[in-house]
Amino acid sequence: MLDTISMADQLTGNYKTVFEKADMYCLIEAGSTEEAEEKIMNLYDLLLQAQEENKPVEKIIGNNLEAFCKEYFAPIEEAKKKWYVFLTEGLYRIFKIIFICSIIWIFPFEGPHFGLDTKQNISIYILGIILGLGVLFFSSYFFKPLIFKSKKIKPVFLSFLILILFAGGVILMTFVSDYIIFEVKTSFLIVLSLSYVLIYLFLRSLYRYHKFGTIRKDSKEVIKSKKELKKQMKFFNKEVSHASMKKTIAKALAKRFETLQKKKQLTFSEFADKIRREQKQSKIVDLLLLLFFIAIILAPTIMEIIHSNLLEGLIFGTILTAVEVPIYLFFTKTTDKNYDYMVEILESCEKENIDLLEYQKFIQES
Amino acid sequence: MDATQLMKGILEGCVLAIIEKEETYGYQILSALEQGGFDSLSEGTLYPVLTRLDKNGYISCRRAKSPLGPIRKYYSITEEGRSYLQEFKETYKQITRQANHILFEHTQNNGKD
Repeated sequence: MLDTISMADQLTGNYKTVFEKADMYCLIEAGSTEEAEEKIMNLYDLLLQAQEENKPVEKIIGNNLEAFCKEYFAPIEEAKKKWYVFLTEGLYRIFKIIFICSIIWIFPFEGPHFGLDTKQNISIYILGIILGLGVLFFSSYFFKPLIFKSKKIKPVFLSFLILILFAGGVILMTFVSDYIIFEVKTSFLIVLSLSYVLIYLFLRSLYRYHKFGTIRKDSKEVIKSKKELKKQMKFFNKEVSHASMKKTIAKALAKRFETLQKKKQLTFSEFADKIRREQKQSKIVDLLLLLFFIAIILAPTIMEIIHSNLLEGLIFGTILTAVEVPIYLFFTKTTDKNYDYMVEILESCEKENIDLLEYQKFIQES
Repeated sequence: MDATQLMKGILEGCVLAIIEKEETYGYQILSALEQGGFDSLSEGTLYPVLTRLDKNGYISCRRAKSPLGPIRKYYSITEEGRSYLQEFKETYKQITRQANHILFEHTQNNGKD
């Protein structure tokens, strides 16, 4: 998925506004499909180049942004308009979820048939479909036109509204589903959902084989080219996020230096030393945190091995590691990277003999 | 009259002619069209033209990193595209000759009579 927030951060003024609005329009219309991402990347490239050459944004998009978006994203909208594709694909996704949930549902029951003879309340699935369609409808008919209505309405605000609407819907849905009861036998749900999924996959494979000569989504050449594009996009995302982070951190660093200067009459080199010291301290804290995480994984695992057996203990340890490692990485990587960026910025300033405000201007221009 | 509709038909040939000169990309094509007088044209019109030319096999595209960072599509003409362009040029000449005759010469002669 493209990091469009960092991408927008590299643009300024009208170029940024146009990019953000077009991105929001595309998100409502197409989600984050490969085709949509490619179009967003193409628009970003054009706007970045126009900004570089001080070419008016109107030369790229014309005088009407809404008309431009309609024309530019038209092929994606047309593909969405095929109701039978929307319906069959939508049902495939829903039945896939129902099948997985039903399988998970039957296992805790003991006995020869597990929970196959039990009944499930399917109102949660029905309400889920209604909620999904409702959010789609609201986004398309109420929020989408708002993107172009006023300059004051920021796309981020609209994204937030959609998120609130969805979260509110989910809370309401779980609450209401307790009062609306549609009970269906689990075995029937499993047979129905599995049948639909299998028939859909079979027909889709037939169609693809007929069209592309392979049962996969595209021909071998297209798959190869998509893989290459994915790799390039990943690399680009890393670079653009790096540039955006550097920009944000330079700004925060300049603000911090200004505040400290007012309080303590700190010189720039003293400030740089202070940040370097903080970086070292942060590394020590990271090491302690690592030891702590190892301890909280090892101790319960050893206890589990002692109380049950080696295999169960190892499974327990693996699950615990899988849960705790991402938490550990989240806590350490961000702060670590921030300090790395800070030191890199300060070193650049020292090397070029410029202050933080000049550095900010320099990266803005470059 | 809406000039855009009239332009769309000949745009395909013009874009192909620009790509024929050298491997190029969206922004450069847009600038070349602008210099050639298509100054009210936006990317919204150009992108579908490029997609159509690509789908028909008249151009091929490769993706590479642009000097400013983003992944850019670079277009070049194929052999099929070259022969289509040749065909397009001949048809265009023929149609404009006929149209010129009816729209201007024919009317002038009528005026003289």
